[in-house]
Amino acid sequence: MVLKDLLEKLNLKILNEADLSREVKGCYIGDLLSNVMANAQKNQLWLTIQGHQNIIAVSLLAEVSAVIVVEDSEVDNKSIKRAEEKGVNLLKSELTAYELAKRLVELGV
Amino acid sequence: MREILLDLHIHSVLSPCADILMTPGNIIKKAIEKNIDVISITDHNSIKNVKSAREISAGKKIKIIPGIEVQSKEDIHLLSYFENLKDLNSYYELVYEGLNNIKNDEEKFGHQIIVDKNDQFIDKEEKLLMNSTNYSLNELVNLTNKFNGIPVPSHADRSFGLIKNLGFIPEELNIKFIELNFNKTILQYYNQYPYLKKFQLINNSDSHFLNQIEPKMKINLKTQPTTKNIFKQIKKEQPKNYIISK
Repeated sequence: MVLKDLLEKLNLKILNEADLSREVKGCYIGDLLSNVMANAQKNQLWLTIQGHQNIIAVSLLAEVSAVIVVEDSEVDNKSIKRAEEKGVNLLKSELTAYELAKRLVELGV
Repeated sequence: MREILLDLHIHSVLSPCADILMTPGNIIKKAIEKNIDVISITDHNSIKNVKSAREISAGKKIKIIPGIEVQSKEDIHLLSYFENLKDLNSYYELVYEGLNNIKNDEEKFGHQIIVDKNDQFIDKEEKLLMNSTNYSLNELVNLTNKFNGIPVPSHADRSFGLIKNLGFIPEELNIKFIELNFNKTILQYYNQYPYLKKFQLINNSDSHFLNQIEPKMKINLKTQPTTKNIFKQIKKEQPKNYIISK
């Protein structure tokens, strides 16, 4: 599955669009960035409430297909700017990580 | 030239997680017993025992650097030290305003006790102190610098620490010092996080119990050991890591 297929079905808000043809394979949930750096896998969707600009560098390192900031948490403007500069898909959802993950499972991610 | 021993991260009974025996008077007594010259009482998001501690220490050899440990909205703890109570208070007033307004539940979180200059319980802080403020870490660092303070991210590699929560140190952060636990050697730290070489690494006890208070660092002082001179020396020179053999 690619990111584009999921966008509408999940009612996600796009904060920065880089490459919506990225493959999506599973998801990782975490807010402590040291854990995400150590454990997130390539092409996963990363669900977090962390809005600090470090999420962009961490997402590049982990090679996730997109960062989805859940629970409508505040995202720093610097994060959005970094995402534009570095070409990172940065999305937002009103759902909690649990609710969003359930929807992902239903969609076969 | 004299050698000054320091422990700059101690919680008093105002912090809900600290032991009930951690009154400023008891802390000062224990620190003197351990030959510590300078301490800082750094409670979570509050300063309400610092003034009494200074009054209790009056006439004694020990000095107290005004300090506080504040939690950012990213759940990161930041120590801030100031030259005087006025600067500490200016910083604190902003911090307290930004602290999420939840009432402390003593059963669940612990007591938040304020003492007077006789070390007697006189009041309680009603707002839960073990909580985030709505300031980002970057904002707290900038505010500390604005009031001429020293910002130091606490226990950076463990819970509520900068590296633990944000993965690495953001470039924009205007800091010189990082506090580490020193459960490993400096070389091991450098191997794991090479970027730490750019910072002055400091070590404190982060005491929540009286028996945890230890001299953890030293500085050399040429001037008279007043709080002001010691503060300036810490700001200027890297305090040396000083680990007591058990």
